[in-house]
Amino acid sequence: MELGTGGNLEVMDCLEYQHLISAQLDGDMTPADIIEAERHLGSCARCAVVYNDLRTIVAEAQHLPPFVPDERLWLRLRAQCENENLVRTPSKPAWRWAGWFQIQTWPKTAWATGFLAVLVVSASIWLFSGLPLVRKAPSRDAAAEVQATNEVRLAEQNYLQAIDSLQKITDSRMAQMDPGLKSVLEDNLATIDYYIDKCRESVKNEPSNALAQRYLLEAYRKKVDLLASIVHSDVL
Amino acid sequence: MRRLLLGALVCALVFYIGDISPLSAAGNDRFEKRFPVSPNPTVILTNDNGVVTVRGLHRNEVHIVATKRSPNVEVDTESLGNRLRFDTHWFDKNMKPQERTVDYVLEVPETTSMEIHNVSGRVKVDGVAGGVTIDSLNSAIELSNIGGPMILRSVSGNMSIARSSGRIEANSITGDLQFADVASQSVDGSTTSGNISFEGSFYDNGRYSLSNYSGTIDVAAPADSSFELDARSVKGSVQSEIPLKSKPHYNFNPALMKQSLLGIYNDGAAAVHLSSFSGKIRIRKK
Repeated sequence: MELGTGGNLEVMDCLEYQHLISAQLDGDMTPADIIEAERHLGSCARCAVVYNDLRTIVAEAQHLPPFVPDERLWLRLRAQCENENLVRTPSKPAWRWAGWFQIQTWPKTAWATGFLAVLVVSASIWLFSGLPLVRKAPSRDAAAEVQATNEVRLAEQNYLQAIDSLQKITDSRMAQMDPGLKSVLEDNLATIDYYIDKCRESVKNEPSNALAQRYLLEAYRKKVDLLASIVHSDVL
Repeated sequence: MRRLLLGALVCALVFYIGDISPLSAAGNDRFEKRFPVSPNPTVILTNDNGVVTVRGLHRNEVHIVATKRSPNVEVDTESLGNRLRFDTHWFDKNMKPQERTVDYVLEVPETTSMEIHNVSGRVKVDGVAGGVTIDSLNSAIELSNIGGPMILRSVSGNMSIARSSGRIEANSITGDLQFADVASQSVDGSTTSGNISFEGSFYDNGRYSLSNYSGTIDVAAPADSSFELDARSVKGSVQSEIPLKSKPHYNFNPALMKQSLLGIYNDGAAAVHLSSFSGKIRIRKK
């Protein structure tokens, strides 16, 4: 039984194929790699499913309008990176600050009022939340949340499609299987289905919970893996 | 005289039975062969049901002993260069799994790369440095003293990896994962409803990732280890007995903080990621 290892001696294994998958999607492969990749896809249902999914996603993505993240997203990313010391803001020389103020057309009183307003709002948040400002978790704005939910839905649809295709083949294979092995597989598929339901429930209750989303997609991936391994198996 | 004759008859009978017993070298149910190989050979074994035991030795040969339960099963061998392949074949599709059973004992050079496909039974590998790949439906997998990379997949079998230093990738659905005295730079363990326990060293710049959906994740770290911990759970709990320097939860919704723990122990040289959907994560000193 070969559980998604690609397995065959003459054919590259899944790990080797995964290194090539992006080049294959980009059409940027050597002729030798093309032959090897095609041979692997012919012998490994799991990689074939992944490849077809990715190809569909790439094709669909080409029809999407260009995504322009809003300014606030960049600002939050930058702030977060700076907080985690991933990037360091270079210390700005005094002359730059001075120059910046010199080119402003706003009256100095407006800047002072604005600064004071920001200070008051920040102090209020700090006082009422009881948390230090730097530790306040940035809330995901509604647009980002909707986008994340849509992405999860799209991935979910792709997984469900793959599961549906694989299930038809595995059903006929399992019908001929030894009852003991069949029972082990059924139990494990039921375990995965149980967690798919639990994760869907969690995602439904907390749409912004990224970890629950990750667990949901991982559960689908596990199911695809297991079904593909049944299809791929020479021994079962 | 009669007693002597009777004794001789009993002795003859005993020797006769011994000669046809399944463990007899001359019997049909046992297959044994030696293959001379160069260093770093690859050995691939495909079996349906049975106990597979592999030992790495200081020898440039592969010694295989296969014990069959039925004459309707054969062991097919293939030798291509420095690569050996052993396959269990059975002639009758309606045979019960017990009848298809073949137990294997392999002695291989320490530098061997092993690839084992065993549907059910038990797989035990000790002292192999060239890498071990195992996939199985419900075999228990026991590895010890493995120096090379380990890629392990078992649908429902438990896995235990002890005293090993290679990169580990272990995946199961309902099996438990146990890492004992592991000294690897990279560990990736995942199970759906199994428990995970880890006792071992965390190396500087090493990456350790353990996850499950339910069950416990129990990590015992040496007092002198240095790691950055990122432990999260959707509905379960995270508990640390190790004093961690806190790290702010930048990416987190405050409502989820009860189920997460981000922190640094000593210098935070290794990256440790633990996650569980509804299980319990526990970190303690070894």
